[in-house]
Amino acid sequence: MASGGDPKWQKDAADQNFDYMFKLLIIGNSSVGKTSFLFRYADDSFTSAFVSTVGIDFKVKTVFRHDKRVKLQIWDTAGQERYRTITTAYYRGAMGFILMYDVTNEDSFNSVQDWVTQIKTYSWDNAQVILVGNKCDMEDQRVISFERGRQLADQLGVEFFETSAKENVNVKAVFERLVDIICDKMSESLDADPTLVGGGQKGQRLTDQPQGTPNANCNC
Amino acid sequence: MAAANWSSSRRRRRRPIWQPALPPKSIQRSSLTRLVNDFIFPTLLYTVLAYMEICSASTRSIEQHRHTMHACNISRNISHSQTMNIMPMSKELSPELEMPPALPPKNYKQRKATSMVASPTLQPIIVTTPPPSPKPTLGENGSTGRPDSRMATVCEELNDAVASEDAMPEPRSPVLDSNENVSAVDDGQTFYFHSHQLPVADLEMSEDTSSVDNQPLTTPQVLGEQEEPTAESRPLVAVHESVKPENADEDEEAERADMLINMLEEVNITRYLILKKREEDGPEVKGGYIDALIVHASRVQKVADNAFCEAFITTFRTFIQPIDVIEKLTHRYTYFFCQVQDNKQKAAKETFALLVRVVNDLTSTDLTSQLLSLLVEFVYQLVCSGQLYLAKLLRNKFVEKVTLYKEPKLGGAGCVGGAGIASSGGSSGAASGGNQPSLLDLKSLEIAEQMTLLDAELFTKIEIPEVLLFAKDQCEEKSPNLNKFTEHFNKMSYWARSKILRLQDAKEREKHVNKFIKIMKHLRKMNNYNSYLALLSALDSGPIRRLEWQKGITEEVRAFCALIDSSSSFRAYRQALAETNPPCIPYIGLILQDLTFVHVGNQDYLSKGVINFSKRWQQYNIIDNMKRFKKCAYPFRRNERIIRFFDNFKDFMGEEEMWQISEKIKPRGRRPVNY
Repeated sequence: MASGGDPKWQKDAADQNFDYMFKLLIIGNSSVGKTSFLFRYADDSFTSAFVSTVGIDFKVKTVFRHDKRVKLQIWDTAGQERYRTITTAYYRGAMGFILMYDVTNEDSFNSVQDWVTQIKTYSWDNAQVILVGNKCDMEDQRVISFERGRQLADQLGVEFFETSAKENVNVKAVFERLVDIICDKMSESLDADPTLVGGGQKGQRLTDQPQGTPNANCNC
Repeated sequence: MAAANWSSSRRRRRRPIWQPALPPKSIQRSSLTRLVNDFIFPTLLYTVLAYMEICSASTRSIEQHRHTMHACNISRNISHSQTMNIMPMSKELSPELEMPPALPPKNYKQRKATSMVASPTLQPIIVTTPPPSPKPTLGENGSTGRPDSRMATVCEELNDAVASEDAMPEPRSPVLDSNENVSAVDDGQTFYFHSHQLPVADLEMSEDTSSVDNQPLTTPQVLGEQEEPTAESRPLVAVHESVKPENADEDEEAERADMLINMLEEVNITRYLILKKREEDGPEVKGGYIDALIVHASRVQKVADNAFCEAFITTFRTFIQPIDVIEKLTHRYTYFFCQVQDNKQKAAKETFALLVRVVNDLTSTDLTSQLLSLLVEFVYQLVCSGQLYLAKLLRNKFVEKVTLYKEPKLGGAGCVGGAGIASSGGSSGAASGGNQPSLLDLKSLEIAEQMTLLDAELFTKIEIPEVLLFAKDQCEEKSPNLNKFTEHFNKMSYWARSKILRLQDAKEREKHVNKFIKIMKHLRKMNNYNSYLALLSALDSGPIRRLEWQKGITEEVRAFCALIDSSSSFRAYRQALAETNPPCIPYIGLILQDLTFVHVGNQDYLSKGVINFSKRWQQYNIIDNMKRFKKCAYPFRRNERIIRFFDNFKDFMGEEEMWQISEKIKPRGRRPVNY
């Protein structure tokens, strides 16, 4: 769905030519639908084959924004939520977070503050966050109103969407918006600190995750 | 069962081994079963044992109670006793035992009364509802209540056809009435008729199966009691009698049997499987109906290089409950055991072998009283039909299981927190006040060994099904051992961070970090990825990482991080793990993540009723990575001093506090420059 219809958003995981690379992370309690959300957006398949020694890589998707090719690495720590002490390692180098709760699950909403603390603690200071209330298709089981979600987002100073991975509501919009916010923030940073611009290197410099330098994330 | 396609000469003896109950014994038995059902877990074992005692005693007395013999039974049983390699006495016993109807009529009333009492007791398993409404009956019967866990769609369709064409077996009450064998029959008979006809007639084949399975298998004695009195008016028998000219019945039955296929009663079910095409990747069997998968698993057990059975055993809980598998297997076994052909005997043997395997792999949560009483019933049937060897084999298996899980259960109640660790924690309380060693006083190697021992203790307790189900439900209650293991990991990591941050002196902190690095090197050599990563995540955590460290430390930690570098989906770690020989303690978080992805990314069914076995195959391969290390045993000896020093890793600061300390040591403001 993401690649269909909108020429600006194209899926091309193999393409190594990109202007920027953004590492995005989807976080939130277990079972809020993070993986489904990611699958919905990156609609190619982890599904067909799984090789245990290879695993399933984070999703890679290249999108076009303001005439720039932006390669998105989208990470999902689903299943590892309980390994709190280790998942924070994923945070490093992440430029954007999709912080997700489930509108039918009060606990997941109450945990949002904890997740925000984690982001503040472990991620890059300029990392951008979007709050997402998922499963908005399940109206009859909803316990968190749109208004409550929006208020919390205001408090936290982040943008807010309600989505449904199942019904494909706002999934693409969330990613597009997050990319826009990161781009905006980035141009601010670039304006403020021109040393960050290094010709074709800028994408790598910013993401802390240059291709072919696997240990870069320990080097920040 | 009712749908059984038997030779006409055996029509009436359809369920020879399901009707073994003797009047007196059956009374005892039903009360025993009640005990099994009602008693709390710990007492269950004794009940089972006691029951078995009675069982074996009963085999002797059975002879005295039986008077009638049927020629066909004799011949069949003798041939069985030979094929099945039964103990000598069984040759005499089995013929008699197999004949339920042989019961003396005088017991009729008594038995009937018993059955009335017994049925409600055994409610979950037995058909207790009146005939007119088959669905509720089935609901009670089916232990899962999951419609998809039963029979295949194909069968449903076939069955539909059958039902529409064949008025006889119609399950619905109107039809039943019209059907009337029932006309001449009293309530009791209707009841039997109903319950046993269902399999043949029910529109919902899936439900059929359950009732078919359930009855014979789970309620042998109760039904036996009831049926016997009514003499030949058994389930199927009811039909026979009423319609009287038996030929008519036979025809109908043959017809029915042709039209509806119970895969559990088929020798070869390959056509109900979806096999891999030559050019495709993945497992040989891509999918199939549940019953077909079960049967296939039994058939390929001994085939070398065929992991299907292992994959099935590992993953079947994702689409069917253990109790249902057992029911289906006992049904299949019972069905084929009574048939003389070699291939059918082989099918019976294979089925029994798979049953033993399933029972062997039952987990503590599987062992419900319901499941145990099902096994008790089946073992009783085996005993009664003279298959003492098999009965003993199976009995030993599940008694072993019950014993195994009873111990931790009793002990576990006391120490809620952390399994084995808690026990050591208890003793620590007394000693910890004294000369508590510091981290630096202890040898790195020994610390690593003791960490590994604790990990191993928790790791081996994790049941494979709970890992599989966690990825599906994320339900902590259903995965208690997995949870403890994960918590242990987090606690260890927080503990290590706290150890470092609590030190005021920078040099001391550095010494401790160096100590942890040494410990990690030992952990790595021991293939203990779990503790290794817990400590690494401590050294690499924000509050510690941002502080100033010697270059050596920074580089060391960076090198360690390479192992768990997440690029290419943790290629480095996966590679290392693949090359690791047991003993080893893997990092389970990645297994959980993989399972979550596979679960979310793949359909459970290929089409209605057809299980997507490729998905299970993927799950199996992920789990297998963990399974192969499950039996790991480290040769280290427990060192109480160090264990006490760990103190269950319960002494740690909160993240907020650690962060505050970190900022006190090195105020925020600029980005940290250390590694």
